[in-house]
Amino acid sequence: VSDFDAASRRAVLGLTGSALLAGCGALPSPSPFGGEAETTLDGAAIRSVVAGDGPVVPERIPVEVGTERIEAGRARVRELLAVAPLPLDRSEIPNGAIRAELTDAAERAREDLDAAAAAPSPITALRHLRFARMRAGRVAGGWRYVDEGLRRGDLRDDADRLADDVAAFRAERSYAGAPDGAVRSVLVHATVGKLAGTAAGHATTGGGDRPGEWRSNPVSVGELVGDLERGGAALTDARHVYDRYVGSLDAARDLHARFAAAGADLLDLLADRSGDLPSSDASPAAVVDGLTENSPGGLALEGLLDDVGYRRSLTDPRDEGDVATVVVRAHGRLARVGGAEALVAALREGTRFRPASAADVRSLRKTTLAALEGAVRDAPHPDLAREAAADLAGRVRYADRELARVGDDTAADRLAMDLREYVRVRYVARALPEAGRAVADALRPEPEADGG
Amino acid sequence: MSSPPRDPENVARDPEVLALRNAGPDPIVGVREADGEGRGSDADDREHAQRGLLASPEAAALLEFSGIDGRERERARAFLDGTDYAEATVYADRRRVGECYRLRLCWVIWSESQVRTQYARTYRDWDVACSADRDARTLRLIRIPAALDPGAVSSYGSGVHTRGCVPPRRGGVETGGDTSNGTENASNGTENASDRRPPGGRP
Repeated sequence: VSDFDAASRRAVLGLTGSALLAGCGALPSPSPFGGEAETTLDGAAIRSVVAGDGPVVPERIPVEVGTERIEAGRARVRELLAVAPLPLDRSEIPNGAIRAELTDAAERAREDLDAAAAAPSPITALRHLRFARMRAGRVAGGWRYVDEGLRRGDLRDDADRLADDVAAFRAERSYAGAPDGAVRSVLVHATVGKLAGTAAGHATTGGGDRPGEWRSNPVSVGELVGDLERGGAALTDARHVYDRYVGSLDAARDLHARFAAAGADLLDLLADRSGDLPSSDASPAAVVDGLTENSPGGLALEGLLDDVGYRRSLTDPRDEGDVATVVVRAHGRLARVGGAEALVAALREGTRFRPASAADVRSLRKTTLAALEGAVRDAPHPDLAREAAADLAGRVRYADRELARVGDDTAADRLAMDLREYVRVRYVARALPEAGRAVADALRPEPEADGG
Repeated sequence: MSSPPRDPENVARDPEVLALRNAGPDPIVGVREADGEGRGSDADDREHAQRGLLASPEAAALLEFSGIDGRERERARAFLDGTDYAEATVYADRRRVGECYRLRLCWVIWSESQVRTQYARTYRDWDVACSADRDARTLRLIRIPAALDPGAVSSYGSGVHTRGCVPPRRGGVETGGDTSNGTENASNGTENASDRRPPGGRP
């Protein structure tokens, strides 16, 4: 039982005599309905809790990304940004909204370049560069609309070529890996698979049956150029990571069958475990007596149950039967299932994560960050944990940014939507090591097949 | 005389419509002030006309146009005069739009108690000189092919999409239902590079 549990009990029970605390941040006022009091929190204190940089968990893969790959990405961004005569002025693009859109894309491409330069890991730098290329592509494409008369139809060949290239890459790639390092192998191959999926998803000129007038202007044609640019970059990155990895292996083995079997096992395990969880359609009160929708704990549970319910399939059509990606997705989902189980248990014990003061918010955030750190530190395979923890860190940063905007006196209930992210991250992070062990078990070779 | 069915959704995707635009800040249409004591039905007509719903020639006559040239005023008047109010109702839908954009009407839906419109917003041509910071006014006179009782219509709304027209949903328009002052439901793009939203359950 953590400090925070005690704090939330104080919020419920400690109302009498609370006038003594007035001015110290917590100003509970009795609810007219005789339920839990409406608590007002000191916004300035909360803003100070989230001041500064949020957590970042750099993704890492056991592949050495070539510096020449990163330099090539930067050069490509600069090349694209040189297409349009920036800064654009009125005489070049009289329509101010279109001009503003392209100008903004150029600025953001430069921000992405800066982010790539400051990236904590090469694989993250490549990600920033893909977005930089996408945004710089928007500017270049928008300008080519104006300057050369580039239109959507002109890009169909580029899109088809990209789709063909992705298909060719998928057909020729193997699942070569190190037999004694299957977890590392699956992580690399899932990274490759997701990049190929991104490329495939952008290899289109955007069909759809909606009338097309909104798609024939410099901004939308620029977006298409940017999408194709990003898709092309994703495929190049996929090839790069793949080639580097396979080239680094001493004794490579095709692990396709092992990945496929592990994926199937993990899906079975997930089906079992998810079956024991409450239905995502159940009301919070039906899951935990007295639980309401607007507590951070209730909201976090709702979100997790939604995610692990079968509404979202584990197999994404974009993966195109990518056996490695299935395993890595299952890892993330197992952690969410484990997190949901532990959260249900905590809620049944009466914890609601309702802050009675800014100090409670600080304590919740601190516990969350500790859980996030522990998830990577205690994981049997830290790089696999990082893959999931990077996403969790993003949730914390999101909540931080939202909480940085709270007003001076804010009702505690109004923070529930943001605080639920801390709750969720805390529980999912704690479940990551176990999920990592399950993945490692599933990837262990069958004695008959692989042993001696 | 056609009366609106109880079915909440009657849709016209391509209704008869007259679109007017004023680049300046002035409204295109207003309602004539009452001269003397407004009698009961006159006061009702006036109130309904304020909301844009015109169910009779008398109500339509209350509209006053400004901010558009004489020829367009004549066209507007002719549209109103050419409406058979036994069969149709005119909805005068006023929308602001950024000076660099234009709106296209996607559809109008109506029931006994509500009228909703949906627009698609697109850029005007790139070589049209305009400011990203200024608004224009638009007015659409939309002929709804049903004789509505304006007194029974209590809910009006409008939505704007930036990625083309989206078909109306059953049971209402848009989510939230508070689009009565032209809320933009602009989902402008597929940006997912930054982490401004919580990452959506990446499995």
